[in-house]
Amino acid sequence: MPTYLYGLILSDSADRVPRDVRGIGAGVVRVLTGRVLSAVVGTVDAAPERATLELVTTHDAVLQAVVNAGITTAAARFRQTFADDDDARRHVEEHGERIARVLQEYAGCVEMRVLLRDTDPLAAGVAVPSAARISGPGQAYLEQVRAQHARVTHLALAPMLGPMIQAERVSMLPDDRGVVFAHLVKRDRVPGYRDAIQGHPALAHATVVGPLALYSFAEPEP
Amino acid sequence: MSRDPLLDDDAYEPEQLVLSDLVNRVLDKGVVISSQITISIADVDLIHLDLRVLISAVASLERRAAANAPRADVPVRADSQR
Repeated sequence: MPTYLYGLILSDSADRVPRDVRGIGAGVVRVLTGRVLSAVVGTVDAAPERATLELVTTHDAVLQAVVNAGITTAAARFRQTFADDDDARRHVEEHGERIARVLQEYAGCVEMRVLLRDTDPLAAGVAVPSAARISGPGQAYLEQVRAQHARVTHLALAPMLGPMIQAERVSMLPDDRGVVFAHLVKRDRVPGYRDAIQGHPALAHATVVGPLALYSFAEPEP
Repeated sequence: MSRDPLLDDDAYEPEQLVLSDLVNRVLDKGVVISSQITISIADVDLIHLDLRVLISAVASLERRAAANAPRADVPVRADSQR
């Protein structure tokens, strides 16, 4: 039976993973323990054929249960399925070194996310210089990508949050729907982090999500 | 790309923003250790279709609930719950 990967944790946390969590296809979530790195997995009938909202929500809920148990967790991207446990172990061993390094470096951290709609002042207030002349749909698309990139690179909450966060990554939701600030935060600093975000006038309408598994920080900085 | 009119108004509420972020982070972020992982554009389109259907359904339910809610100016008898 195929093995589905939800996330990766350091092996010294493996015995703290809750035993009663159900994942995709209602399969019980379990841990494949390795020397340094362990995989949070479940057994599925088959690899998910396509992404659905239910599957995506279940994937995230499994990771949430692990994070709620106080474990620093690197989220696996959706839909990684292996022939069996041995195949999954092989892949974890092969790629595990870089992930183990990240988890060791970020031990005790969670990911927090600040969501701003495109109409919120901070997200909307960034002026982006436009290209001089657009001559076709190809250039228009490239210009759109460039403008998005330019907006993102102008945005940062890190100066305001200071040492409350370890790192920040900024991205945009599709179709310019909003801006996402992903922050790496020590668990014991989460209450202060929330207060800082909620107390900032420009972030009055921001939505704060977390604590989450490390999604944006699961891989080393590109 | 044009924006979806269902989501393209001031009613793009925090819950919808949270769902949209959830879908995007699970599909687009996180560790990749399998070379066979592929999320096609069709997948992303389909899941956004799911999202639109869900949001639309929630909006309909809320409208229905509001329409069926007892009016404050109509007295409700204590035995009317049976």
